[in-house]
Formats: sequence, structure tokens, C-alpha cells
Amino acid sequence: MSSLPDHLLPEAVGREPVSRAVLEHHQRRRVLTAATGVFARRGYRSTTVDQIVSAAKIGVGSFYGLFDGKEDCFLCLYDLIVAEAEEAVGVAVAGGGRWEDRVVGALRVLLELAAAEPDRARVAIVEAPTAGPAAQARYSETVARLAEGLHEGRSADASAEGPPACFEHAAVAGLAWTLHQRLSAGEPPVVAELLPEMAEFVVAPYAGTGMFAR
Amino acid sequence: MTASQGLPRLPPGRHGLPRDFVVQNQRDRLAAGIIAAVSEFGYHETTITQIAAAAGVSRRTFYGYFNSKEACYLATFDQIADHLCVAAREAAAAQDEWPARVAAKFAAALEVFSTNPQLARFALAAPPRAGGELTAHYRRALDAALAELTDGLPGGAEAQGPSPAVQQSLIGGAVALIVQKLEAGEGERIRDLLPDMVELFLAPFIGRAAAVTVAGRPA
Repeated sequence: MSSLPDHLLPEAVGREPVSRAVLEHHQRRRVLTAATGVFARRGYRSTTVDQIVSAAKIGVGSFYGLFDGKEDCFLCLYDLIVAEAEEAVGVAVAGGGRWEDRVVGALRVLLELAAAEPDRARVAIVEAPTAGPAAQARYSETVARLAEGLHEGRSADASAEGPPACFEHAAVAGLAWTLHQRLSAGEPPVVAELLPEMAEFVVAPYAGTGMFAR
Repeated sequence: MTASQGLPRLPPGRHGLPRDFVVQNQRDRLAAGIIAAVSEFGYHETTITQIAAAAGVSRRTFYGYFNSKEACYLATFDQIADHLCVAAREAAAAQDEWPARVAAKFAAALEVFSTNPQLARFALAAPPRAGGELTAHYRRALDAALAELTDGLPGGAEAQGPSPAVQQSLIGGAVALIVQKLEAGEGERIRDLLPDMVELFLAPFIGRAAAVTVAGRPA
């Protein structure tokens, strides 16, 4: 359904007119939600704009009014998924507490999200690396940001013993790989199974050092 | 493109070489050609014309061996995987203890990738970016590499060893470190990762202190 030009719209009497920006926001969300399923099911490379458009039940013209094309749509979707996941992690660790508890809390949130919304997890973890240089760069940035967060566990005292300098990158990328394997096989992660194992894998190397020692 | 460096082109015309030799030579050239092209341009950006040109053979010759770019990629990938497996087992043969065998296998693989970083780009960086059958093939190959590394794990350690999910993270993390070196343009220094990689991989199996000793990292 194509929208009427502003000057032909009926006057909204007695209520606030819905602004164009709000409409556009809702339409974007609708397309991104539909695109999640298509990208997750078909893979980024096999997905066409036509498939997204018919899943979202909008016109091709409306799609191009919102996005430059398939890649732009994917990048917007990736940013949305990551931003919402980071927000959820932020809420979970906002209370402060011990470093290792915050790491486990963050891990729990990420695994729960992946379990509850495997299509979104698949887009963010399996499909993003396949979606071209821009998506690959954003994926690398996400991994680097998570690794940086983990790095806080180290002592400010650089001489203190800890895992090798590359541990954070290997741990985050390694966890992503385990999820990649599960999601690719169509087996969403089971939080109760993975959380204790992964928490130990990520936190144990810091035992007796840095934040962990306090 | 300098793909066929080190693979001298066969003299044209009747060279009197046995047919098997010609076939093997052309196959090897195509393998070298696709490795050079994919490591430079990426899998999807690589065309069969580029592979044939890098191999110094005609497109027609390419189609004599493979019916698609994917078939050529997968055959070449398997050749590299087989080579790594043989090199790893040879390196481990002199070691009796499981942790030392793991260290020797990592050393052999990192040496191969340092000597020719194009192989690492082709076999480790490209497949997760390609999607589809390449990624699926790569997932199975990493599982096989993990099985190779954990082969001969003593029963006692296995009982206390990390879960299969954590083991997958260990191999995924090890590969990520290699790819990170490539991205930093330090492919020739992949071998420098050895002590850290051995420690990271072994620590969940045998404890950190023992892993540090095997890795030989100055603690």
C-alpha cells in the first residue's frame, strides 16, 4: 500500500496525527522482523529483496523508500539485533557486583536471547560474516567490543599473572563459533546446558588474578 | 597475479610426459590457482576465468577437472586438510604424552600457515564468509580437526575434560587467532601464536600450570 502525499491526507480531527517519522519507524520494524526470518532461513546470499518484500507484505517501492537495498537492510537489522542485545546485557550488569558475576550475567543474557530468538542469533552470528565487507567489519567490531568488556577482568597491575594476551579474543570468537555450530545445525542453544560450561571456560582463567582476586 | 610461481608451465605441444603426470600437474596448478585467487579476492569475487588464468591453463581445461568453482574449492580445501593432518601426525609421532602431541600438532599446522599465509586465508578466513556448502564443509572440517587433536586423550583427563561445547570453542578460538594475524597483515608471524595457542587449548584439559609448562610460555 503506497502512502498518500501529505497534502492529500485527510485532516486528523480531534486526535494527534501520526507523524510520518513514526509511520516510517513502524514500517522499518515490520520489514526488519520479516527480513530476519528470510535471512535466517535462506542465508544472506540466497535472499532477494522480492522475498523480503513479500514476507513483509509491503511494496517494492516502499522497501526502497526505507532501505538502499538488501545489504543496507541487512546492516540495519544487524545493528538493531546487536544494539538490543547490548542493551539487555547492560541492564543485566547494571547492578554492579563482582566482576565474575557480571560476566556470567552477561553470558546468561546472550545465551537466553540466542535460545529465545534463534533466527536473530543466526543473522548476527552465522549470516553477518557472509554479508560483505561492511557486515564483516561490524561483526569484527562486535567481537572486539565484547573482548574488551571481558578484558576488564584483568588486574591493573600488568605484571600479575593471567591468561595470555589473546585470551579474550579467542574466548569470545570461540563462544561465537560454538553458537555458530549449534545454530547452523538448527539446534538453538540450551541455556541450562551451556551456561555453566561456558561461564567456567570464560571466567576460570582469571582465577586468582585481577578482579577475580578481590 | 603471481599464482603459478613455482609451478612451471608445461612446455607446449608433445612433451612426451606420461598422461598421469600431466593430469597431476594440471590439478596442482588449478589448486594453486584457486588458492591464489580466493585468498586475494575472496570466494564469491573469484571467477573461473581468474582461477584458470592463475593456474596457467584454459577454462576448458578447468572444466575437464571440475564442473564448478565450488567443486574446485572443496577438492582443494580437502587436499590442504589432508596435508595438515599428515604433517600433524608426523610431528606428533615423536611424542608420547598427549599434551606434547597436541603441542606438536599445533606447531606443524602453524608452520604450514606461516610458510604460506595464502593457505590460511583460503582454508580458514574464506569459508565462514562464503556461506552455504563451503561453511558447512568447513564446520565439519573443524570438528575433524578437533577430533584429531583430542585423539589419544588419556581417559582420566577426558573424564574431567571440558564439555564438547567448550572444546568447540577452543578450536574456534584457535582459528580466530590465526585469522586475526592474517587481518593484521602478519601472516608470516602465525607461528608466533604457538605458545599462547597451546596454553589456551590445553588449560581446560590439564590445568593452567601444566599447560603453561607444555607451551613453554614464560609465565
